[in-house]
Amino acid sequence: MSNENKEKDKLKRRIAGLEKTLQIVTGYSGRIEKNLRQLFEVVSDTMPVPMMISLKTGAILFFNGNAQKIFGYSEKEFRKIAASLLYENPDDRGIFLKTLEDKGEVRDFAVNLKKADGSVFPASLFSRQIVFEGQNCLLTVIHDLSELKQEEEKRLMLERQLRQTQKMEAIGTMAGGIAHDFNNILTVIFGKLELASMMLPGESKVVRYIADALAAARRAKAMTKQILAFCRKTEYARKPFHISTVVAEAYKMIASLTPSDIEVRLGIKAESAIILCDPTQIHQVMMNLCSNAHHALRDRGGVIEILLEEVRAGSQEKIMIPALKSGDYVRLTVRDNGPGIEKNIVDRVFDPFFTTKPSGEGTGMGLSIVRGILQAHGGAVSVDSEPGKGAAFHCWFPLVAQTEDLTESVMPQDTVERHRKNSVRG
Amino acid sequence: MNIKEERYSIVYENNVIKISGKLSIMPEGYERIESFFKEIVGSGPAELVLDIRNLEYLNSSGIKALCIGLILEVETKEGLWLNIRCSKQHRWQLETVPTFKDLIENLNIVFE
Repeated sequence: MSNENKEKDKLKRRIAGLEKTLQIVTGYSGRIEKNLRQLFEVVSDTMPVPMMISLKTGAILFFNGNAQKIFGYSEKEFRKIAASLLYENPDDRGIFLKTLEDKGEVRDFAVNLKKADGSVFPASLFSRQIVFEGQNCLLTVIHDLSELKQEEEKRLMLERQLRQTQKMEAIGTMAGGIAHDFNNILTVIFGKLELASMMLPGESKVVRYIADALAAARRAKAMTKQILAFCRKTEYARKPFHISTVVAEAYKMIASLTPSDIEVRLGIKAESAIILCDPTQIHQVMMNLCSNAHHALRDRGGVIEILLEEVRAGSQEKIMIPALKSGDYVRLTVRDNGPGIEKNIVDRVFDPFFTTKPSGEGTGMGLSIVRGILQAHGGAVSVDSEPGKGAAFHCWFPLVAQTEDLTESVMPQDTVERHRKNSVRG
Repeated sequence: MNIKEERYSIVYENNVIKISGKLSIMPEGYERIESFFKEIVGSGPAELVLDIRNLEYLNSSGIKALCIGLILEVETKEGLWLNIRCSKQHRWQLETVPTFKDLIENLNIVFE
């Protein structure tokens, strides 16, 4: 073989080697590219935030599962939609693009975005320019702020409630102190009036005046007693008992005192429920709530419903009634179909000395006392009302046990007797 | 001459070229590596071993450098055989090194 042919052969082999090298390298690059694409898709679908890649023109080239989920578009719809239509105000995308152009990236761009169903949610956008599939694109990550906003609102509500509670405690402490001192003064007034009365002849006009003064002093004493009850200075004689029995007794008394144009209904769905409480306090709660219901129905007649049921307080109830702990409760509801409570005062109805009744008809202490009693028993009271749709007051008493669970050692004697009789009958 | 960098090293000793670490530099970075390979082959070794068992990653430019700078150079030396010692632990080696057989005949590949 001539030298020329040898050189030609050598070159041919070199070219063939280079061609094969090219095949090996492109095959290798293809595998790497495929692996990187898979990695990107796995990462984007694993991260718990919506993200998408779009062109500046608005065409969406890529979106992850969370983006699809949050906006509610099908894969086909998402590929067709223009990015600007994902904004509540499509002009916001222009501002977003301008920010990106000026700063090279966007961080925490607050905006309202729109879902497929038209609903709007607050979001914060984070974006950077990237090259994707050979084109200059924007990679945008969406931080949904809906939950944060809700949390913020919940926090503000709790703060308001805390401030209200602190205010009530301060009022309670002050009122309790005044009532205590006032009681001492009343004791002297009672003593001196009674002494004066004893020293006068029975037919004396002055005796009548003194009797009037004593009656007024008694009213004052009753009022201080209520204030002290609100301040929880009174010790309650707590014992486990069937709340249904006490509610039924109180219902009888309330029904007998109610005018005929107001119907009082009783529904007991928690016959065996046992709570730890002072039964007289249950009477007081029912009397105070029914007295308000009477007042609401005074000129129009209507229905008062008293309902007793066992309920479980979960996270939802805790949000509505922060004072409530999770657990089982007996809920006593007093509902009327009166005019309801105006929205602007519904938050204040449990405040002491707050009343909508005309001067001289109410002390404004009834609902405060109800709340004080419930708080003292580890429960809570809440109100549901809308103007024109009546009002319902719910009293939540912690459930101690049901009849079947109650042992004789903790059961009061009368309850044990009743239980035995029921068992024999059953 | 040996090449030792933070993420990789190439050491030639007793007819064995040992590459370790992660080799993913830019294409221009391979120029000196290709020259190193050509220098080794040009020194006329009786046999040559390429030990890449500890080479965890090699990018596409590195594949090209191996093919052109070493394997095709071996072909130019009559009677010279190249033995490649690989590791089954590295997926890229399992997928790519066997294709080097397409380049030259005097090549042995051993996976350990």
